[in-house]
Amino acid sequence: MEHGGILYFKFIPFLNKLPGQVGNAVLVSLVLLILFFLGFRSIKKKGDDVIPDKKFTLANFMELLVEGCVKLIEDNMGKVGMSFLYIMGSLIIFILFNNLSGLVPGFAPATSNYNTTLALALTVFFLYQFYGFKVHGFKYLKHFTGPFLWLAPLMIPIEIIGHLARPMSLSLRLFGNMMGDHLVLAIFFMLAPLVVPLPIMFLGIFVSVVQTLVFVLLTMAYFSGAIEHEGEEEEGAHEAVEVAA
Amino acid sequence: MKRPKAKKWVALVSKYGTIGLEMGLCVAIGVIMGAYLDKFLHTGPWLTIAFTLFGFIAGFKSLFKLAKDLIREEENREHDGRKDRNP
Repeated sequence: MEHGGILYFKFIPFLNKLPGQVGNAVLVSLVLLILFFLGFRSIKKKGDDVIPDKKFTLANFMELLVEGCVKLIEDNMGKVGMSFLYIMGSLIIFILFNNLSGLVPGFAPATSNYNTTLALALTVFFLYQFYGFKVHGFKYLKHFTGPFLWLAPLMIPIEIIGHLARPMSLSLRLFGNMMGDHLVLAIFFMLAPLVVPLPIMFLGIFVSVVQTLVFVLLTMAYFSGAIEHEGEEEEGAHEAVEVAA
Repeated sequence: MKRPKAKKWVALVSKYGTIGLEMGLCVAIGVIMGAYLDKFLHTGPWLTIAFTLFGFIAGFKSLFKLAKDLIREEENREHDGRKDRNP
């Protein structure tokens, strides 16, 4: 979407040559990087203090974020999930803060461009196929052939279509929600800039958080679907931990 | 019956809200794949028709899988309830 107003990343020397969504994603990531660097330093300075600070500091913020990610992953994937902490945590933080950046004037969220969401969804797609092959070896292809071998010529195209629909639906959902939210906000700002956009902005916060959670929960479902063994889930989980770690 | 909590609610949305988009996209991907294969292999309309049907089946298969999961969940809940009543 073309923006009429000021965009912050246009003022930064190397970012202004990039396309809009990339510049914004890099800018948001840079801000996050600085925040996390400062938070990490303040945690290190604190030592192994168990009692939290009296005020809400950067260290508290980081602990809250990491704890939330870990809890979400453990609730939905069990013990196996901890080996996917890095990819899941990066997805949560990147999508959440890019979505929320759409509510700050001067940022155009990168997730309201289809290129970004398709890149995220394709990363997820290739990674879960890769982990499927890594955990099961060549037997992973049995997931595609269906219950009987004589049904395989029929089941293989069906399964391929079903698997291709996953990244498409993931990316289209995130893109549609963020784009729609941003567009409605822009139109309301154009019509009545004073108080009217406030409920829409509140709705924007809600949509940002919910869409992040939906994306990540579906990603976790795909990952655990790829690494689970049919029928013997408990044993499969143990093996998966050993292989993925 | 207990009302689902806020996090449970998001999990339900991500599980059952995705089915509509996925069923539509399965048919669309089937049609596009079939059309391109026809174009490269020069096999008339046959592959388009076949892959459209495969797309329909793939969409309904994901619906069927979801329904099976739901039934299993209900059974588990009933089982747990019985265990709670007679400890």
